[in-house]
Order: sequence, then structure tokens, then C-alpha cells
Amino acid sequence: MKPLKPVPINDVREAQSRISGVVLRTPLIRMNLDESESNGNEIYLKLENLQPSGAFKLRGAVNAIKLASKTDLAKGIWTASSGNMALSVAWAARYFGLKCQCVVADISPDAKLNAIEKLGGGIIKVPWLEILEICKVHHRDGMEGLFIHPFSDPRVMAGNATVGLEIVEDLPDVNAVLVPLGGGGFAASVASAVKALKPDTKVYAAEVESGAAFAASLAAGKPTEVDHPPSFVSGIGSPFVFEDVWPLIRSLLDGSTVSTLDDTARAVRLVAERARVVAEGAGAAALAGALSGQAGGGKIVCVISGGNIDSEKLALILRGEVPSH
Amino acid sequence: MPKELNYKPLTVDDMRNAQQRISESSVVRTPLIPLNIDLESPEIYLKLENLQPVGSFKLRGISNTVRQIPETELKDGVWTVSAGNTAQALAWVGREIGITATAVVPENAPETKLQNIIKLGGRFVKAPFEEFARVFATRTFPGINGRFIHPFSDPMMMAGNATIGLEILEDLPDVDTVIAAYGGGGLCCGVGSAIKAIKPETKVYAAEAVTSAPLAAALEANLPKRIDYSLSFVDAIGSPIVQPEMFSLARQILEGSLVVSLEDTAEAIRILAKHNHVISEGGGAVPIAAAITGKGGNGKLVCVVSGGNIDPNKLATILEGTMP
Repeated sequence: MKPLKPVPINDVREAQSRISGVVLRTPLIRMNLDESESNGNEIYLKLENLQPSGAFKLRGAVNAIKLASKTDLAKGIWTASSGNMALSVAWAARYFGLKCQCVVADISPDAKLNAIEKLGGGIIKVPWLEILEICKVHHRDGMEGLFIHPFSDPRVMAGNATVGLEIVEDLPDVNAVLVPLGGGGFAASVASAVKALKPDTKVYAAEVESGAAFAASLAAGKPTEVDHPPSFVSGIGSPFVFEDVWPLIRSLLDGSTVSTLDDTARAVRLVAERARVVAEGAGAAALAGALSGQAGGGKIVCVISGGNIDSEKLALILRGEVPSH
Repeated sequence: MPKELNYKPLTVDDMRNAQQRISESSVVRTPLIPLNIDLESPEIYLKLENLQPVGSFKLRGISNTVRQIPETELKDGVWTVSAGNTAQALAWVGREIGITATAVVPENAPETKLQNIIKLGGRFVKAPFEEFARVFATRTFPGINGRFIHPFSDPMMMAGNATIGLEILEDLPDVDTVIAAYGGGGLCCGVGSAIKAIKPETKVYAAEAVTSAPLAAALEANLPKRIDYSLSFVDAIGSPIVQPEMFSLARQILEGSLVVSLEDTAEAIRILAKHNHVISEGGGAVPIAAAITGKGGNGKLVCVVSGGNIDPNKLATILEGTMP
């Protein structure tokens, strides 16, 4: 497996014009927090939950599809994901009139699975570990059409990196950016763009205590396995870091903020109350990390990566509880 | 009583100047996004004013107004009559430019709303409901000096609100219909002025909740008429009667008032949260309820999501499928 490289900034700029008109250029909004909550820092949210598919993944999916030839797309497209990539690939498939198959983890929230079906995407449910395996080998027997890897693919990464480009366009003096880390491709993509444009800006991974493999690997100096119990934060968290991603995230990222599930639930609630939008657990993990002080001070951007959370779980969180899984 | 008010629709210059003025403030140029549900027709878009820093469109009108008042008139601070979105927006702007902001609030205003005013550095004065309600017409309150900022009945406020209309036309030039909630009328008349001045063939509707729809009653009777009024979770809009000066303007600008049920409004809040990941207050969801139920007709339809300040417990109740 070849290690991934940083995304060249020209590829990001080209992706930006390629996906424009299909993908939303999301707003960056300043969060209205009390001095005591923000420690005097300015906290901004990059609202990727407003994408039509509910997550940033649409950027990479659309970029990959637009770069593919007609022959590549003749038999449709497929992906493997815990939910958001599948949703975004299904949305893009419908937009471009392509056939679509989604291999999804059986722990994916119903909200995501129902939405994929509504968009006309086919669903194949498999155990979570099989998703990780497909992501490792870029293959699953019996699938046909163009495979769109959820993170480890230069075309997908260039599309996702446009998030970083837009952040620097909107807030040129940004001090730190926090990006939820799932497979690691997204964090690496955003960091590629931010560091190319503004090398002194810190970029941190945002992880949760249930599956903070990157933080553990950084501490050990090598890829390290961790426990990954199921939690309501389904969009990120992994028992290990992918070997092809590890060298890249180790060199590009300034560290990892690890948040408790309690703090992450509180962040979901805070985003609802103060920014009036719905963030899924993974999306709110970046805010939880920023508020914990682990990302330093100044102007901090939290990437709200997605908003696909079951209504029942969101209701629980709004009432001050933490969903069990 | 002040002299009888009589407003003319705003000019394009009024609105463009407002746009320039607020572009230098903390007002957000909000996105216009499609509603993510499958409907053959209409094609519904959302103008997300809930993303403003204090969670509602009111920041536009207040920023535009306060920034035009000479400094000498601001030395005793500014004040308004509101316990909700206007009070928060005024406190925000007061803090931004360094003047005292006071809100006259009804004595039964919920504690959380009052805390929100204090958190933003504003002050409040409690008044019995009848006295509170009178201020909308009298524009005076014993013991408060300062410059009065009317929540809706003021051309500068409406010009600020009109910038929403300008942005809608910039982002969706071929819009067929715009729907906005009718509270005091400042939002509808502001947005409507912009749309009608630039693209007169576009329809502009007010939306009201059935539990409190004074504009619909006034349009039917052809004059402001007192209605039966009951409180609900749709608390940012609704009043016992429309202000006469706003009615005469609304009648010139608006196609009519679309009246929706509380059930449809709650369903609209659920749809917004689930499919667009956007949190709307009751008043903000009323236009979407009208659009989804077909009351706004077909074509390209923009709904103004005017605000997102809803109590988390009420929102949880709605998400669980019941009425708060």
C-alpha cells in the first residue's frame, strides 16, 4: 500500500471550481459564547452539516465523479462507509443519474440508512470491521462500478480539502482548525490546504474517548490499536489508524484533541442552542475539543463535519442526557 | 400619542444603503439552501436567518437603525419593547458599539429569555402586560430616556430587513414566491418592499399561525380587527391586532396571509432539523409549513427562516413527535 501524499494546493483549487454549483459553499459563523465558555477565544463553526447530503463527504464524492470518464461510470458507483459517505455518494449518484450501491456498517444510524434508500441508493449491511477491511484493500468481491473510497483517494481528498481552502478564504488570520478524524483522510485533506496557504496555523484532529486511535498512536510513536466500543458518535472513531494514512497525518497534524462522550453530547446541545443547527456527535467533537483548551487559543475554527443524527438521540441530548450508543 | 404614521414602500436606494451599512457590522450574509425533501412541486428554498449571531433576522434592522442615529442621540443609550429576539439583537448591537441597551419586557417573560438579555450585556425593565403592549403605539415609557428603537414599525428597521429580499434576488433571480412570518409586519414589509421594487411579478406572502393570525383577520375585514389570541410554542409572532400603520403598508405589498396549523408548524420544525440540520423557532417554521402544504403555490418558493431561538426542551418534545 502506497502512503498517501499531501494534497497539492492546485488540485484543491481545481476541485473547488469543479464542485462549485453542486456542493454548497458553506458559511463560517462566529459562535456566540460567554467569556467563561470560550476562555476569551473566538470560536467559529464551518457548517458542513448544511450540505444537501448532510456532510462534507459530498465534496470528495462529487470531485471524484466529475473526474471519472463515462466508461468508468457506466456500471455506476459504490462505496463503503459508516453512513455519511454512503449518503453523499447516493446523493451525488442521483444528481448525476448514476446507479449506486452502498456497503454500510450495521451500526449505522437508521436516519442515515433511511435517507440512503430514499435517494435510491442500494444498501448492503455488513459488520463494521468489514467496512474497515474494504477501506484497507479498496475492494469487495461481487461489487461492480467505480469504487469511491471514503477517504483514502487523491480525488476524494482534493474535494474534501476545499473545506480548508474556504476556511482560510473566510478567516485569513485563523490560529487553529479542528477536524474530526475518522479514517484520517479528511483531517489530512483539510490540513494540506490550510498548511499550504498558512503554514503557521495549527490543525488538530478531533477524536472521542471511544476510539481515539490517532491520539494513542501519536503517544506510542507508531500505529496502535485501541478499544472501540459503540457510542452515539458513529461518524468517527476507529480501533486503529490506516497504515497508508498514518505517515501523512503524523506529519501534517499538530496533535489530537480527545473529548469525552459527555463533553461531546454537551457540544451537540451547545451547537443547537447557540448556532441553531444540528450537529452529529462527530461534528460536535471538534467544538468539544476546542472548548476543552486542547487546541490552544485565538481564532479557532471547528469543522462541523455532518448533521446526520437520529431525532430521538438529538432529543435526549437536548434534555441533557447522553445517548447510550 | 405620536403623530399618525403613514409609510411608503421603501426605495431601492434605502435598501442598498442599508446593505452597505450592515456589511460593515456583524450581520451575516446568510445562505439560501434547498429544502431537502422530495416534492414534485413547489421547489422550496430556505433563507437561514437563524444563523445570525443572536439567532434571528432582527439584527439586520437594528444594525441598520442604530448605525444611522447621530452619536449625540445615543448618549443615553437605546431601548426597545420586547422580551425576545428584538431585545437580544439590541443588546448585541449595544455591546458592539458600546452603549446601554434596555428592553421593556412583560412581567411574565420567561426567565431564560431575560437571562439571554443580561448575558449579552443588556438590561430589562418589567411592566404589566397591558402597559408593555401600549408601548408599541406610544413609544414612551416612564423613567426611560435614551433613544427608542421600535421592533418593527420604523422605515430604518424595515430597510434593514429588506436586505434579506435583496440577497434572495441575488441568489435566486428567478424566484416565484417569497413567504415570511408576520409578527409586527416589519419583516414582511421590508422583504416585500425589496422584492416588489426589483422584481414586481414575484409574489410575497405573510404566514401566520392559526392560534394568532391578526393579519388574515384584518385583510378579510379590510381594517385592523381585534382577534381571539392564544399562546403557543410559536411565540415570536402573533398579536391580538395588527398595528394600523403596518397594515396599510402590508396591504399594498403582500399578496395575502397564509394561515397554518400548529401541527403543520411542528412538522416543519421536525423536517428542518432532520433533513436540513437547521433549528428553527416556531415563527421561523410557519412559512415552511405553508409551503409544504401547498398554500404558497408552485414554482420556486423561498421561505425566510426568521429565527432559531427555541427552548431546547420544547424542541426535544417536537422531535419526539408531540406538541409542546
